[in-house]
Amino acid sequence: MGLWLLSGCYEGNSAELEDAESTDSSTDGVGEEGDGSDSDAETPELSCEDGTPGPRSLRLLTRAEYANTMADLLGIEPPDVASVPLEPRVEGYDNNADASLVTARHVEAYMTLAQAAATVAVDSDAAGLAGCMPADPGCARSFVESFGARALRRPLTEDEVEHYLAQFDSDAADGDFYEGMRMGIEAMLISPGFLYRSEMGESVGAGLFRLTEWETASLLSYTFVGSMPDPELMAAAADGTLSEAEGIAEQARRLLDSPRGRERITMFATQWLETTTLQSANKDLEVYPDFSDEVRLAMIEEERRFVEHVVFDSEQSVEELFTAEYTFANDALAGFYGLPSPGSQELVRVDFPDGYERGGLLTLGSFLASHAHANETSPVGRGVTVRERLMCQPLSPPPPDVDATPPDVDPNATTRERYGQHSADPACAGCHTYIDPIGFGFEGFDGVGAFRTQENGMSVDESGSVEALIDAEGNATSVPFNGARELGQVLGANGEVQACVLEHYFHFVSGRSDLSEDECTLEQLGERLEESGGNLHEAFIDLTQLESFTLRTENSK
Amino acid sequence: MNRSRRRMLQLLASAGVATPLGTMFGRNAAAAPSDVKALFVYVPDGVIPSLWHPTGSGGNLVLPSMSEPLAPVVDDLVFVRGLDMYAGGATHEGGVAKVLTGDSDVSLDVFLGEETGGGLAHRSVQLGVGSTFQGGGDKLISYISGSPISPDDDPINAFDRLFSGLTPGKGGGGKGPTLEQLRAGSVLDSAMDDIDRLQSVLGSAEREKLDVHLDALREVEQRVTGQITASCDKVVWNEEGYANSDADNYPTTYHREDNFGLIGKLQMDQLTLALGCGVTRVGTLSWSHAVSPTRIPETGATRANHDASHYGSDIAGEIANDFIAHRRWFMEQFTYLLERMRSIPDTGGSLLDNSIVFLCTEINDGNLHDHSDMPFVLAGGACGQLETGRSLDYRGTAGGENEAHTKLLVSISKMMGVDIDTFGYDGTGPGGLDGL
Repeated sequence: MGLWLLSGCYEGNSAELEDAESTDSSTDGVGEEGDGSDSDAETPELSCEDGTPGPRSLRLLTRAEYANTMADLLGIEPPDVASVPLEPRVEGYDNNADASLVTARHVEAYMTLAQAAATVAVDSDAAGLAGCMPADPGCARSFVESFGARALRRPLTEDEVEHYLAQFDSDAADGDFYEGMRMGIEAMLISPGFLYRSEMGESVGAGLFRLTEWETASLLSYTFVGSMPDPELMAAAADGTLSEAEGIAEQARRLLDSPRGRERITMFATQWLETTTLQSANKDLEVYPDFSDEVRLAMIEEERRFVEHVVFDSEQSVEELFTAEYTFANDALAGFYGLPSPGSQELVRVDFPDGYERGGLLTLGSFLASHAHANETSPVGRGVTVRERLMCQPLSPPPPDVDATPPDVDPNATTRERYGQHSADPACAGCHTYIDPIGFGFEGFDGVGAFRTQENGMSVDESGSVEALIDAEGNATSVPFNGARELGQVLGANGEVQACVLEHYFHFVSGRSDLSEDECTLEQLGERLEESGGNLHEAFIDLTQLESFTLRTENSK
Repeated sequence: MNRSRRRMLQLLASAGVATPLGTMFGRNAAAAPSDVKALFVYVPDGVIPSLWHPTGSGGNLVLPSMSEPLAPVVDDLVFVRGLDMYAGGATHEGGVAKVLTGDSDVSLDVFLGEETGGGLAHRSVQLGVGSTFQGGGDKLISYISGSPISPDDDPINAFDRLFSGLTPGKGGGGKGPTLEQLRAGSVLDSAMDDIDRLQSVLGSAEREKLDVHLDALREVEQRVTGQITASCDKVVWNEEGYANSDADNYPTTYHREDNFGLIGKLQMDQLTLALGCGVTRVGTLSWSHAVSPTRIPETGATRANHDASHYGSDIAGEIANDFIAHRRWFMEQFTYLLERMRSIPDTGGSLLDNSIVFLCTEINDGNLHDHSDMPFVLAGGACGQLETGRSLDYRGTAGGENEAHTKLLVSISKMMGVDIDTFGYDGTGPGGLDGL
């Protein structure tokens, strides 16, 4: 292990897992001011098995979550959210809790969208939305209470009911009930209670905060389906089901297995594998004339179908993800891959023939084409991606004083030869030892993911090695392989790599980039994954079963 | 972020104490530093240094191929070299994160906007041209509280935000609030009350996030409820008739490669309009983003900007030619921008005379990813504070090392009338650049 820690190439925590200290849950009690602390609640005694509670936070809805929520809440089509500023992308994920702030441009976009949505909803079925007739006594109040509980994803306090009722009496509503209702909806849609998912919890002492059942419902819902809780989940929050781990597991499973839950997992995979921009990635069509739009779109769909199939419809294991001897292709993609044509415009499962060069996610066209330049492969980019995204060993960028000039294009050399020169330099080799031998193993696939045996008239050498692969005993080993398919077999069978999928999933679930305090959580997830034989589907649910899932600590930021 | 100072400005603004917009115009006296506008222009992926820096001296600058399109405005420029971007991260991502922040948690454009924009419709305005397309979300240059601000790439959306409600007949003007303003004010009040209530429950938890949110609500409230009485009465824009098309789902119309130049023009046009009629004093224009996947059809280049920026060792080769062509195209746009600013009258001169423009990028040599000897340019007269038509070299001037680029940020701030000693990294000492 010391090998690469000494090399200074790595940052982050995963390599130091075994030095994990137990949770430090002691705080000085600052921040409990006026937090509605529940003095009856039992202060949990936490051990490492419970995972590490993360910081309390208000998590701004991503644009996709916002659109889904608006649609579900108001029964409208998901609005076009292009006017909402793009989310900052941190560690590849678009839902970073710390980085996502509301600026004036957000406010204006939210207002415009809220006004349009409220108008559509009120105009299409005002009476249905109100649930009562304007002349009925208490109609405004009952509307605010019932709609508000859905919009804010929890029952309103009496103060809040009064607050939103004031819109009915405002000058702007001018005594018009439905105008007041429309403004009440707008006010809720730009309120922090709507725009943020609250993971603030209530104090249970010792600096810990327990998520309310309502917050737990939102956490489950946004984690698994990317939208507001549905009625069944809200009912589970209301009847106390969500205060028990079994109740949480039951809901988690239901949501994960729903059509939206399946889609959500493929969205995670796209962010994890950093293939989100493939749709518009520049590719030089003079170099790669066969990379048609049809092939490109099929690759995007292939990744989704493949991931969904493994996680939900097959063995559900990480190993299968890395080694599956099938994919999903249509005629265009099968032709591009040199596979027998399935005779279908739609993607269907295609089993690989014996001795075929592909297998698992490393040889998906989306992965190969995303991690390559416009006109050539990228051994360094691919190597870094494997290290960081699949092995959870984040690399430091090259030091500023290093000459990072990439090798010149040379029609008389292979890419491997050109980059081989640069990693022979001792100044570079210190880090590139961990990068290039992995990246070179992908050289059998060109910059758009097509298989090749020749480059510039020379034979392609796709031999490689994974340095510092941690084996079951915790030793850093060097494992040779030949080609990306074999690399998938090496990685897929490795416990650290398997656990790494969950580390990334935890980035996505927690909305946090810094997991340096989360050793216990990650260790637990890894152990549970191992016990289940690497079952990803169950691991996603297991995550909700840690005591820490519904506990938070004071946010030091 | 200096929150207390920001809050103070807001209080002053809402009490009408800050300089009302109207008094800034129609004044006969020469413009003062408090009238200087700032414009930050970002172009991605560095340069080829030997083809960028001018030779010759004052009044006689000779521009090599990459900077040559700046010739028509060379007398309005100060080329600055010999500045290093110290601290922070490396390569493209590290560069964008510090070029305007100096490795602090706020970028200079946002900071100056907060300091100077209290009484204006917009404290600062961030626009982009394809800046969020194809993976731009982690490569942005403007920051607030340590988080990147995503520029508005949609010129139509931006125009609505900047100018609706300010043009004659659409509010302002002392006839009492319109119904639309009443409604907007009512729901915004509600949201501000919601945040107050939340903060009283949460105490110090998530305070920074909610403070930023509350500031945003206040800024929008001022604007949409007609508290800002600015009037831009000669808004001529988009004579090209550009419109977003619903048929363009992905990419959106404004992200289509064949629209890149037109979108750039529209964004430049409305930024200069906004600065000229006092909608804001601080603008930022991001051309594409670092590691730019943009290929500009007009250049004839076959490679995207970033691919071309790795030109190898041959600065006369085919790849370098594509990079040069892109950079030249960007400089043609910059020249257009400055000429346009020169055509807009402002107190005692032109908008260009009364502005400080900072042309920046995130790395020096596109092929090397380094942060040394950055190829920066200043433009505009800053109300007589900046002598232009010069080339300055700060190599080795900080005890033998290159000077820190943050001193340039300090100088810009001072020219805006915001007197600070340091901005972010201060490893070469306080103060602005000597001899600027």
